[in-house]
Amino acid sequence: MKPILEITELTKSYGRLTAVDALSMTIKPGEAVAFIGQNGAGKSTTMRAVAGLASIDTGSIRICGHDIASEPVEARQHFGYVSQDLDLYNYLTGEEFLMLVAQIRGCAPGDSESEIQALLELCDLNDARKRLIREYSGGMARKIAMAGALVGSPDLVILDESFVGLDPESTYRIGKFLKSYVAQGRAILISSHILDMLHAMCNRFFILHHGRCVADYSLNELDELCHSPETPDITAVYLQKTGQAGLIRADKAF
Amino acid sequence: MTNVPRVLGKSFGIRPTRGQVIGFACALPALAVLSYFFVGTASGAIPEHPGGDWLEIAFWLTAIATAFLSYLMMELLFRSREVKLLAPWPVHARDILNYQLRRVFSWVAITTIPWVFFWAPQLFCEPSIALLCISLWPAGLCVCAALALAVLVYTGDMATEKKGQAGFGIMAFSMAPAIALGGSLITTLLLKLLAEALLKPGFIDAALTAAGITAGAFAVAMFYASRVYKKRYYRILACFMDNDRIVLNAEYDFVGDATYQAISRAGAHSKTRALSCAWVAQCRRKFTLSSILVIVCELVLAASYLHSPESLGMTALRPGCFAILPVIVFSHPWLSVSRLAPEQLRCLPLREDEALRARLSACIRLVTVPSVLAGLAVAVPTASAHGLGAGMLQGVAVMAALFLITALLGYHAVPGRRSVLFTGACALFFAIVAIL
Ligand SMILES: Nc1ncnc2c1ncn2[C@@H]1O[C@H](COP(=O)(O)OP(=O)(O)OP(=O)(O)O)[C@@H](O)[C@H]1O
Ligand SMILES: [Mg+2]
Repeated sequence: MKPILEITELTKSYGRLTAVDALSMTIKPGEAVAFIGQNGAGKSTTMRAVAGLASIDTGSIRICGHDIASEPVEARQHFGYVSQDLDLYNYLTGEEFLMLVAQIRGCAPGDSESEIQALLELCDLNDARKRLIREYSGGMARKIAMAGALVGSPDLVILDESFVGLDPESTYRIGKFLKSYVAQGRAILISSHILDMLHAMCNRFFILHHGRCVADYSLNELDELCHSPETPDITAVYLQKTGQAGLIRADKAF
Repeated sequence: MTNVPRVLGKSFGIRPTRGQVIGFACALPALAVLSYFFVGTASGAIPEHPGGDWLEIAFWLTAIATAFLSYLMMELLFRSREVKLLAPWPVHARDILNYQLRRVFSWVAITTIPWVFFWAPQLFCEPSIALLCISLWPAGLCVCAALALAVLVYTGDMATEKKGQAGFGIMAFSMAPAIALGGSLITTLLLKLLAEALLKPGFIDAALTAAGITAGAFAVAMFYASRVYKKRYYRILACFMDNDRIVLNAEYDFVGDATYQAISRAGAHSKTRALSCAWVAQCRRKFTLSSILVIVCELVLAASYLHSPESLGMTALRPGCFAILPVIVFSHPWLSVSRLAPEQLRCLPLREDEALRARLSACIRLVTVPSVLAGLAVAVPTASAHGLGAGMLQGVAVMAALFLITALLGYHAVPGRRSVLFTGACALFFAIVAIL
């Protein structure tokens, strides 16, 4: 199966600080990858590099076989991205924004109408479709950004902490949708600190620590680990892998 | 006890780099050279017109600066980054006012430096007129700042009282800078008359009256504004922020379908057209007020020509000065690229040239109306082809400025301050072209 995303030896530094250090990873169709790590671990930096928004020092990034640096347009045809610090078309309405994305992605007009309708319903934004995005609440803005990333059903959807501030229904509905989305042979890369949600939604877990990969588990592997008394849940696995096992022990003693 | 305005100034004030200071210092002599060639060494003063062309030029340039300042005051008082940061902190309104006044008056002082250099060559030829020209700028701007402050505070105060009336606040706040501008234009005109009276022998009464009125306006405005501001700043700020969240739009709750239709009709094969439609819609919604202002400016221009058509021959400076306004207003959407073309655009499959074409076509659509209006504003009252030409020149100036900005700075992420400086330079350049 051809990989959707191939990152090879990606390194990115800001001055003396190495944010991402020789990171390699491959994402195949059908994978929902959880990107986990401390604040400042380098998750957003990696995702921005994949989306072509950050320059990289060394390494390469290929999306569906297209290099993000040398074939920017072809590579962009295959992914949708929602950044952590939302930056939206504030003066368009929700539906105008989605239609714009559909047109730029080159969707057929007839299909895009129904797709936009479905996405607006998924995000529970049908009533707000004719309101300017500027007037949206925090969660609504995040949802419209996610809908924008999903328009045209790109092969890879990159969501950087997109579930922050979403209400429980939306989280549940969009999570379920993403699971079925991945099952159709596409992939998602999602970063979040809500580990239980990731556990329920993803089938691969990638732990980043100081810009390096310290663990890469499939769902089965993680479930097995969670059965051991040392690491009863995903949080414990994460703490152990990031060198904070002391916290779990202290907790037990308490 | 901590001196809060000082701390604020230190934290939020602009700290120019050494390069910027050196650049500023190098540009000053250039200004003197520029004015030597363009303003000349003879004022052309005649007994009926004791300030000559110089005072005219000083007046119009100051008038343009006051137009800017009236709008800047609103940004500074209610919309600036530090105001938003400070809003939830326990800072006394008095301290915020002191800090903001410091900022405005230091801005006036700093801009006066190049102004002095601009008039330096004239200072050696006809010192009395040149000195009056020099004083017009700081005096006009200080009075303008005070008036804008008072008008904004008054508006805010009124808007907090009439909270129940939907739409009142938005209307009031969007009209306030224009009213302040009107007031400051009148006082600047009075200051100009004061200068003329001082130059004419035997007009001391007129000079005293003009001085009295402007000084009185300044004092009353400052007194009123500081009193109300200290008492009700936070309430006014909250009211402003409420209204600022709402876009000035007739149908501000639900926007019509036209843009949606236009984007979807553009067809998948024309990404450029879809993007350009979105861009135009965004600019129209974001800069509603600017668009109205441009039309108002053109009407004022037309009225001034209707009043004295021969002025076109005498001071061709006027269309030139006004040419700056649309350039600035309409390169504004270009500058606020981060707000109107967010990061998301850069993650979409769009070639650089497609994006650029979309942006240019949007700008062309946005400037066509004001340039045609400008042409008509000059052409109809004067019934001359010359006038139409001057107006069209404005349009060309705007377009050329836009093209140049794109060519030199590129499409993505135009850095704010550099592009503002650049647009300023373009505007100046084209204004000079327009004058010639
Ligand atoms: N523009 C920047 N300039 C300098 N350093 C940066 C910049 N952006 C990120 N960094 C640094 O790079 C490192 C990785 O940042 P990144 O945003 O990728 O972290 P993250 O894993 O997404 O964290 P979080 O969970 O808080 O979102 C951090 O140490 C951060 O300080
Ligand atoms: Mg992050």
